[in-house]
Amino acid sequence: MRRVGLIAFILCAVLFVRAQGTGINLGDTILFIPDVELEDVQVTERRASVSRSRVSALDVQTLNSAELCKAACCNLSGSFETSAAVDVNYADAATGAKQIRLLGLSGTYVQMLTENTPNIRGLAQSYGMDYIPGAWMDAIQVSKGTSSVKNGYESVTGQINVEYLKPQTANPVAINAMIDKDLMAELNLTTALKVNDIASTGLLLHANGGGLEMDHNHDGFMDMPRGWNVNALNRWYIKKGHYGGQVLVRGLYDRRLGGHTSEAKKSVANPYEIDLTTWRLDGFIKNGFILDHELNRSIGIIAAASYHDQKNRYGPTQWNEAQTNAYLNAMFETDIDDCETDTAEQHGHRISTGLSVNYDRFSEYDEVTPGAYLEYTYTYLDRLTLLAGVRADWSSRYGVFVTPRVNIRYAPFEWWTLRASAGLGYRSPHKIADNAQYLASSRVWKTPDKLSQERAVNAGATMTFYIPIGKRELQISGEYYHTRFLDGVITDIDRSMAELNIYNMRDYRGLQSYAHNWQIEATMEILRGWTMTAAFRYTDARQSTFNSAKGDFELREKALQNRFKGIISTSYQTPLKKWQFDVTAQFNGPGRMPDGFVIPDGSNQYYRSGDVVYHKWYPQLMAQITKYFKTASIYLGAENMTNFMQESPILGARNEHGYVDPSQGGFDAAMVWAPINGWKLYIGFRWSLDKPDED
Amino acid sequence: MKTMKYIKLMLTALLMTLSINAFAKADKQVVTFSVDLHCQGCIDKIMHEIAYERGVKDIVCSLPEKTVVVTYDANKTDIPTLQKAFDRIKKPAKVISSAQQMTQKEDNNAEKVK
Repeated sequence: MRRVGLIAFILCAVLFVRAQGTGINLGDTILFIPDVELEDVQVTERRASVSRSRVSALDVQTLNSAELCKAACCNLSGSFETSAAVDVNYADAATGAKQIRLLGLSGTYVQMLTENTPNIRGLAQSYGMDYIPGAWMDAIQVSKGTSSVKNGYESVTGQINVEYLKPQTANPVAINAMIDKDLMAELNLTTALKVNDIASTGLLLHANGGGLEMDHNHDGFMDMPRGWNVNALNRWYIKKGHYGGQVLVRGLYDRRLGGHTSEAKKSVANPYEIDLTTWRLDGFIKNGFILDHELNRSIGIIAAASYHDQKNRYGPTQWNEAQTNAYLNAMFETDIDDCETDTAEQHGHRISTGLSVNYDRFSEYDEVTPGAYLEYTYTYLDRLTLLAGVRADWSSRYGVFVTPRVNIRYAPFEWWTLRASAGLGYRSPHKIADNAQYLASSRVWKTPDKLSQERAVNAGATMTFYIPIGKRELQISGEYYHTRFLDGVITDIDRSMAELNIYNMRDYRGLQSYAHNWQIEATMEILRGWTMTAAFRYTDARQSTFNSAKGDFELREKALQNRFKGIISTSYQTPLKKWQFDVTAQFNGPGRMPDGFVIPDGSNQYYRSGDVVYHKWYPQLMAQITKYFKTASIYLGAENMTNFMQESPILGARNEHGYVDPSQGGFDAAMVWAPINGWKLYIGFRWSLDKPDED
Repeated sequence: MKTMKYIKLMLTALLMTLSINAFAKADKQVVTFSVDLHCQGCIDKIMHEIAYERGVKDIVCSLPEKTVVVTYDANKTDIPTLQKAFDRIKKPAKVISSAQQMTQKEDNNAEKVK
């Protein structure tokens, strides 16, 4: 019945699109105007919801608010489901935490920024993606490869920057409410107010909670924890003459209760309960002064701070931790006047320099990292951009380190752009925060007292073609990135299913960790209002882990990493944007399971190649229909329409006699590679008050 | 489980109704207005405001020509009503021409006659 309903749903959506095509004419309007000849009629094309910058030296893709409205996008982690750029998956099968992967490496190696200021670091990385509500976001910029040194040394595989709704441009009042079939509901209220000619302010509010106790795979564990999240943000923006400033404060409370279902608790002697409580306060003050308009000369000072407190209980394991962070960055930027030469107008030179200091305090240690940077940008017409930067930092834990980075963009023709980048990135690892998903397991942790600083080199190249086809444009891009760790830590889940081993690479000879990543992507507006994107990514991520059978370390495929991912995403918007239809299909490739993994009885989701077990590839399908009104819209969508679920995602949860007490050992909720909950239907509503005319 | 069955049936019925409605015949007319367009902002405003006027089926704006071509259902609205809508957003619209819109089939036949 479920499948029949699903097929009927798709059939009707297809029928509706066909009907629109017959009755209202899908193609360009055919005009018969006897007395007027309209030359160069501008067809108002649909603006791309994902765009790749043509002028930036960095490989930046921007997902704007239109892209974020294509799926439920409850929060930042849901924003990449229609995009090939970033992979999102559950970190474990018990806490609902989601982790991202960029260029085949964990999200810990992506520098997360909000409003171009480092955020979601350290403790926040486990659930930080859920802390940014979808309705608050104006745009997301995903930058692959090495990036600017302005924001620090932390970016290894790339940067993701989230822009919140701006008080100057957002609608005065907007509401977004959504509920899914499991009765998980969320409500967002955003406001923007122009106080006077100098000041404007915005208030963003979010709450979510509820949800039924679901156990689709009958392992006695809730598929998703139930809980509440309350999130509030206030921003003030001030602009007067040459001064521009911002103050932003955000407060958050998050509570998640998971583990055994109430039914399972009746039959298990020591029920496994998950109780995660987080309080967080963060904010920044930004000040910018324009010193010279002609030379774009300015100084900027950013001061940011956060306090993150979490009390987490995973069955018998308690992890209470707090992180205090303070960050200061002072920058000076100017163009260099070159008017004495004849060809001055063709060449642009720009210098950016600054001082920064970052402070992190955890219960076990603290770290202060002051640093300085210098970045030079050279442009030749609109053909060539060279961005070269270097920064030097001193860490109270790791000493002095230098970060050189270079990005180059060359556009020999308007229809062809080449980019290349290379640079170093560093990270201070945190034993537990980086591996929090393994707390939901009975693995014994074996780690060195002090972890090494992670140091990696990233290099890559992209090639983008903009091919005109009629009045439209086909965009094809191909890219390759390589990331290699020169120093750092390796998390080994192969040595034993009962242990989590973390090694410093420098403590053992010959340990390696690297990833090769190839991607090809094509996107085009095929007909007016109908866009299509197809992308394919292949990843070869390898690291040295201990092979108990051989008694030595061995370089092999990273466990639980999909080898490939394909995406086909299509979107159709009726001529006046009254209806929108979005469908995205994902094909997630196979991945290696850790040594010692035993294929569950009767499961056909795995295969064996020699001694190694792999999970098979699996499809994902999601669709959404949106009906727009003048100031409102209603959307109805479905996720995981193929209803693909990983069988027995929690190891040691049950046996032939029924539910197993996790304290008996062999319990592991972190062996997740696919969705753990079935298909999801959701319905939502958006309403906004239009911005009044300036005049 | 039963509730889900009903929800799916209702959604299917809703979409079928919408599909049938979309087949309904409209008396489509095309009018070309001259409008003082300055920038993409003006186009966005027209696309947002005029699009939701009753009977409007399509809008094509041209910034260089400063024209707005509106396809509308004559059973539901007329040119003076559309002009009033333009007045409300402070973008007065002057009629350049108007005609009945041809379907693709009729257009092909007209080409053959020529």
